[in-house]
Amino acid sequence: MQAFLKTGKLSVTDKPSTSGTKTTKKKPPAPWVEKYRPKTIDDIVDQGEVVQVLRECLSGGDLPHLLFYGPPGTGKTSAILAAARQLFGDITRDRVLELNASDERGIQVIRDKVKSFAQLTVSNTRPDGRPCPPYKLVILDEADSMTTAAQAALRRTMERETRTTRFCLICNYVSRIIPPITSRCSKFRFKPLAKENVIKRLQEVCVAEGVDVGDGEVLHQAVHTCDGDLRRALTALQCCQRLLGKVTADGLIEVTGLVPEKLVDEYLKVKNYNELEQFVAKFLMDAYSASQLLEQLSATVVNAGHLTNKQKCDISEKVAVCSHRLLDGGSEFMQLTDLGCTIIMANNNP
Amino acid sequence: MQKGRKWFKPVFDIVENETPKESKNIPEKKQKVYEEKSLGSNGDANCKMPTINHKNWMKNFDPVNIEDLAVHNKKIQEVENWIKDSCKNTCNILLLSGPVGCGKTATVRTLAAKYNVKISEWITPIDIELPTDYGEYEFKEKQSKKFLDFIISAANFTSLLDNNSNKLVLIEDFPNTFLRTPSEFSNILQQYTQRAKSPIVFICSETNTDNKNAAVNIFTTSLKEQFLIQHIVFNSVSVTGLRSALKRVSDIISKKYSAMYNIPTTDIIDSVVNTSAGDVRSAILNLHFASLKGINHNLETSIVKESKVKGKTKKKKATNKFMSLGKDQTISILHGVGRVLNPKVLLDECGKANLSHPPEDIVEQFLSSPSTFINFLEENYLPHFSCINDVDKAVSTLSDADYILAEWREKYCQEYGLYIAVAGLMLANKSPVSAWNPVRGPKNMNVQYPSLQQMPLLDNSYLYKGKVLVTDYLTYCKIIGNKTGCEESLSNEDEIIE
Amino acid sequence: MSLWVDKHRPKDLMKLDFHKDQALRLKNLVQQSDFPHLLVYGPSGAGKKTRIMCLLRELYGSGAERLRQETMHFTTPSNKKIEIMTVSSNYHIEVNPTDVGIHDRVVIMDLVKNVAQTHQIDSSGQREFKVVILNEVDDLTKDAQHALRRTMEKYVATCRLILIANSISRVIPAIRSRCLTIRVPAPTENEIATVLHTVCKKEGLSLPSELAMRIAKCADRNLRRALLMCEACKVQKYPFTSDQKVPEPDWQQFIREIASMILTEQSPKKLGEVRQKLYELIIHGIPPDMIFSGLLCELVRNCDMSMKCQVANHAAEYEHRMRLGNKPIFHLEAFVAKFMAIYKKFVEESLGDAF
Repeated sequence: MQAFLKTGKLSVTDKPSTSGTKTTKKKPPAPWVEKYRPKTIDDIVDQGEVVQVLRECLSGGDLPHLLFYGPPGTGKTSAILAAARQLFGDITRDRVLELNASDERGIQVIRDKVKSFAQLTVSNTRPDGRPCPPYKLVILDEADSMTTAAQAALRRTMERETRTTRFCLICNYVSRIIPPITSRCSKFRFKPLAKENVIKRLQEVCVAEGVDVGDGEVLHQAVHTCDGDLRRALTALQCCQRLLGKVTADGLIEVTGLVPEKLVDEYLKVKNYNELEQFVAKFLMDAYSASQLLEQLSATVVNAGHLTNKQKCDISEKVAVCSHRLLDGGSEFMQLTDLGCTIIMANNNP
Repeated sequence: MQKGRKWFKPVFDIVENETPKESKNIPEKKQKVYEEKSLGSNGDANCKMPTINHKNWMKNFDPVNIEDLAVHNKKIQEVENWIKDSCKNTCNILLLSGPVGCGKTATVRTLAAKYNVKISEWITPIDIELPTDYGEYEFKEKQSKKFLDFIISAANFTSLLDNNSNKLVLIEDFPNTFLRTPSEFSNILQQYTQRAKSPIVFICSETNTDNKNAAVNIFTTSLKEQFLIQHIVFNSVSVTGLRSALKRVSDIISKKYSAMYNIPTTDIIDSVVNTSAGDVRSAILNLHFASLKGINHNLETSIVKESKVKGKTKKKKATNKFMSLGKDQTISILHGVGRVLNPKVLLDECGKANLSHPPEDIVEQFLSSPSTFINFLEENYLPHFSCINDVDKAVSTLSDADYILAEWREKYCQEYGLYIAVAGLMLANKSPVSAWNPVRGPKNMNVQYPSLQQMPLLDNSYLYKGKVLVTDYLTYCKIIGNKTGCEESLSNEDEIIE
Repeated sequence: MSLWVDKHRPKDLMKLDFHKDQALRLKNLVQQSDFPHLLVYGPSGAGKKTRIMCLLRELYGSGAERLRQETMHFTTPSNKKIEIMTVSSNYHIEVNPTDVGIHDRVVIMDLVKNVAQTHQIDSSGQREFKVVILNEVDDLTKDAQHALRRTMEKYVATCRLILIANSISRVIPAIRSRCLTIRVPAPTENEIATVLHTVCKKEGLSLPSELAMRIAKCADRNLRRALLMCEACKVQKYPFTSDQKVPEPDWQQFIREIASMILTEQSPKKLGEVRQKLYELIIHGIPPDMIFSGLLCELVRNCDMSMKCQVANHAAEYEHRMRLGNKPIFHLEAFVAKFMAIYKKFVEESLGDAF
């Protein structure tokens, strides 16, 4: 370890075999997601109502407490960040406290950090004399992963500090936010993005990054594999570009860890135990993720035309149980076998 | 009373009851006075009053001679030898340990009386000092300092009232500071051995929980070797010992105090013996309450009544009556396992089946360490079953229990988990095997991965994962390792031939 | 004298025997200016580690191959001293954080901090970051995984993590999304056979292709096991014959014995014997989930479909509980007892039908 911590110098003889080693220090490029985050609220794709409200705030109206909810990658964080930037300009850093799930966010943090931040008073002018809104903004990203106790602690703070502080909570599932909080906020649902808009956006990014996407068929694929999640689509594109040097449909599937549709269908059509055993072994040997399979399977089952309602019912129920066990760390082999048995039984007794 | 003074000034106090005989006589006399009074004035009904007020009634039954002790003869012999020795030798150290109420102190006192040795006992003072005017607490002297001063002066200076007998310092009430700083204690012992001229006896009660066990924590083996401390371990008193002690007590009662006590019947003695779990002190206490006149009158008659109704279960009922009086029922793990795996079903009047030991009671006993208890159950339940279907039910409750117990943050989960396992095992067995099975301790399940030394074929500078070592490498390395040895020698031979 | 597995491990990305296109991609990745955190996943014996070592060589040159073993010491917040084996070169360090059980979080945090806080003073001619390799990330506690997430972001300037896992189902999404995930599927049987042939050629041995195929079949698409089997075969009998016995890992035989014990008799007494055997497996370090799947595969052979379904259901349920509980043996035993009960009923019913 000691030797390891010392700066290991390369002798001339064992120079790295790669020719591409750069001697000049270069800042690692930012993820595309950050790089192409909307700068103003007018850049936000799709979400009409919210943009309307935010626009009014920018033109001088007061800002209510906000609760943004909706599926991932629909621009919730982007919207509030863009708004904050426009509201506060270069003093954003002093006026905005952003906490996301990777920060400590237990009840203690809510009590101490958020409260002490909220208690600071602010003037309605900037240091350089220009006017700005007389309040601060606390953004709680991924608020649905906060504990109920922490949320309860938040409730009081929200009420007491309304004079100087606005809260913006962002979550995927509004049902996980305790009612006292939802009633204190104006709620905005972020709709899943329309496909065309996502593609348009991706296209812009690709042009800016100089990525060749051909006729755009690949982008359709990207949108499809990512369920309209713009962030995931962008991340996938970037990973793909990094790894392959180009963007292809197969590459996208590979980097997103998706299970090919063919395998999902094969699993759903399995007829007897031997087939099942072989399928599961092969599936795991190819290192696909079982939880991903279940996710895709449940979508497929719901839309499958050839299954009766009863079959769908049985299979979906088991999918739920098995994915719960997988989340708890259950062995993939076991759960896939179990679910497979249910599928066989369902297939044999329509 | 004299005794009260001890609390305040332990240092040069004259210890009362220099000889147990004397101390015994005093209360006896007083007792009689009370008795006469009460008899004279109020008669039977108020008889209890003086007894309860009387502080030293236990002393009535203190052992007088060595034969009266309920302790095993061999142990008495050991202590006696030590006392005889230490009369000549100056500063011997003796450590007595054993469960509560097994007669440690009584033995020392009785023997000391026999050899005319004077005992000075340390009692830890309560060192709450009043705050000064500034509201600060001022501790004048450290407890350990006081302790040292006491033991040395007690060992070296004879009391004025004493007639030059031998001396002995007794420490039963251990100053708490030594539990925190054992090193300080060894310093004190060092000084004591250098300066003092009398033997010293330490008495430590063993408690079930190890963390407060002075005998283990303070008197470490190294300490014992360093100061040549002799350690005598007392066991809890045997049933026969208890019974004879109680016999003696009932003799004393019948001789001297028949006015105040009912003469205990053998039934009562038996039940007291059963409930006191080898604790003489609590046994005598119980006997005392059980045979008091007045208070106990109803209890007694109720026992008699029941015994008429149900001759067979009399003893059991009587025992149950005294359960509330007796010692806290701490049953050992082995006991508990037995109760769960061999559940006894009693039929009550309506013909409804009840378990003799309901699961709630057992659960209560083992709440402090549920997983240990369940491990024991799991290790031992199997031989009691004859039908695989019952086993299936039983072991699935165990699996449930383990699953629930894993949630250690939730207090209730511990209780429920234990309850599920206990009740499940008790009820699952429909066709039990009646055979005697010794209780086995749970297996140590620590995984032992093979080390690199065991497998010389492996590359030293490569990090192997434990799992992979076991699942892949182990078998083949054995095969390859075994054969390569022979082969190399073979190939060497080939070369020689060539 | 080292094992074939170690001796013939490829050292260069371009010399890997299978997934060559992936190797090419990794080479491209190294040549780009930024190098992301990696999450490499795939079944055991698919060549994840080999690939990573090649990658390190590509990054740092052959200096990354000078390895040494060291024991590192950590102190937990509760003042417990723990030690862990590490293997390191000047440029990287590798640990199995799962070796320390529930204290894995401390090890990860401290280790990455140590590594990341030593900046390279002169970074000309080499990378400005060092690499920390963490094995068995999927077996880390949730706590450690969450800690990892923050650590990854905090020290990204001076250190890169390469995480190795058997499957990504148990890796939390937050980590997955911060890494470039690289899937390493197990080699197919044909690929294994090819590798066996190459290795034998290097050793100067001739390997009949039937035997190569048989070894490949027995090895469960695990290249490491296949190579070990091949070497063991060579030790047992050479020259090779195409029908010679291929030694199996002894724990697999053991599980098979247990299964046949269960099938011969269903009684509490037999269960007691089975339990002793299970104890032995667990103590020797066979992962309980492998015991579970092994037993399931062996036991369902003789069952009809509805029974298979039942058995699989119970196996999945008990395996899940085992994962959450503390005592694997409880759940293994519960499964065996359940199977015995089901099987006994089945046998009795089919006997009843026969009469």
